[in-house]
Amino acid sequence: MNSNYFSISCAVVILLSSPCAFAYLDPGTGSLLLQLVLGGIAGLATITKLYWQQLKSLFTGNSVSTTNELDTDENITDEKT
Amino acid sequence: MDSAIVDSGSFRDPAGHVYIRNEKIYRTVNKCAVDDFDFVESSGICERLVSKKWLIKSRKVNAVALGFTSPQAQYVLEHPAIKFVSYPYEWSFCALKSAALLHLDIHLMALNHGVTLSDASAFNIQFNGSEPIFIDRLSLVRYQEGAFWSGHRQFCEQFLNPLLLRSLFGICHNAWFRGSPEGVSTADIKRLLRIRHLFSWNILAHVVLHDLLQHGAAEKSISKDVFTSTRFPKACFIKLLSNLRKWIQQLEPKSQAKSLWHDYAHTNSYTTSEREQKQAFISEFSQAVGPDLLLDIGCNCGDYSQVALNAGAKYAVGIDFDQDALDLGISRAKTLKLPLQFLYQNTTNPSPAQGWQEQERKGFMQRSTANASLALAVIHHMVIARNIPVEQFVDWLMALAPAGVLEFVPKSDPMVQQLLKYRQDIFPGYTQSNIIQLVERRAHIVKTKKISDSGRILIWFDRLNRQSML
Repeated sequence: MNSNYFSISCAVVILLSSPCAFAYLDPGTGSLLLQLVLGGIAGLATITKLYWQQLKSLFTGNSVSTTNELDTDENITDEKT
Repeated sequence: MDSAIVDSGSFRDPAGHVYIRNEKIYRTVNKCAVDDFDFVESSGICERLVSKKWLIKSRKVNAVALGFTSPQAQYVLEHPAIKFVSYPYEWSFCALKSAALLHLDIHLMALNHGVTLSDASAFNIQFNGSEPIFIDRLSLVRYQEGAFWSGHRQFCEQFLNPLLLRSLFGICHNAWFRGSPEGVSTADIKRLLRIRHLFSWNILAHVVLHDLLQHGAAEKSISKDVFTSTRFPKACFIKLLSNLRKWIQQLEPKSQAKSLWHDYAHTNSYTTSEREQKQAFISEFSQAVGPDLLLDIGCNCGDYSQVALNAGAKYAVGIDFDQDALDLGISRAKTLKLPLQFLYQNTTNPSPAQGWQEQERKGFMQRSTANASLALAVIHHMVIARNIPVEQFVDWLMALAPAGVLEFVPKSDPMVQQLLKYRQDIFPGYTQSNIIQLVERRAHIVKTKKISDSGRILIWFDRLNRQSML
């Protein structure tokens, strides 16, 4: 996961305070920024999950699974009917 | 040999264009798209998609022999013709939803083969019966690691937002989409939202945040480097697509009062014997004519299209303006695997030719090659409810297809009585004898049959037969 994600996502939030503008609206930029934010949130969730599992393992003694939940989804989609 | 004519709606994508010649469909692959085309071909995705009937078949043909002399065209593909080309503003909620899911399924499968979709136009999906099929082979391009989903905005406007209109607010997307063929804007959906809608993460992300970022981006100048130096991980791309798929799968039309025709099959004024006589008549007509394409006007759930298909019609298109009836029909056609397509259409205001130069999207009649029609109990809705002059109605019917069955519903029928209940009868020409006379002047009447005590009558006409007689 790109390490710039979180900082870019935060910077993007600053844009939200902007007033409406009606001139020369690029119809695709909002969509790309949204993907940055969603990517950042997904990355944050994965990192949080990994730390949480590590914390849990301190108490339970179980080893932490390093499989990334996002990556495993790739295998499912090809068999969808 | 006739020369190929470029399709008037195929001009946006420089990768290639669609041509029509002798009722066959060809697609050129231009120089700029050859690398992508070859990569996708070698990835094996096309065979998989075609085997699942998700992607239209294509085969390379000899460009020179077919007269494609453009130096740009490197390859020429031939596709099987779609029986009836339709547009998303003619689809019911169920049809649009199945098209959206197909788009996402194709994209998810493509990514696993290192391929992505370059756009998310709903016009790239057509229907074979009630099953959606993707028709734009050139939208499949090589996936560059870390690339963003370039079609996200278009997917929202042409699939997600029209579905949300009906699902959140109970508004059918058809009129809105027809008036705005680029789709329903996210800003418009956001304006319609109520506080209760904000409790959904999907709405917050794909509508509220999406719109806020769009407006924010317009105000602040975003450096292009933000997007070129930042990668959108493939895992996130897949997660985004699968989350959208999960959400759309759950969307249903907002529950509201049952539509007028929803229960028509049980509430109409036919008796069982009348219905059986009608079925026998349609069956005989379909067997004799054996139409390649039958147009069923005011089809409701497609009961009589089904009868015609069982008797010899090869493909049927049912049109109606009732969304619930269309969705019921689609569900049945899918279950029974019928070659039956349902389209939302108002006969007194059919889809016009529109878009760029008024030719990008063709009018309803322009696209029809129907050689038979059924107009069962629709005449009173057009002549009495909508004041269409009876002569014009007959002319219109004759232009739809050379042969057909017209059901005349007399003024004494309870359904017509209901229409005349609160209005003056200004329809002196609406009589059985006048209608028969008007049809006779334009076509040969093969057979008529009275099917109810109220005086409903079926008229089987054949325009070609009359021409040969003359």
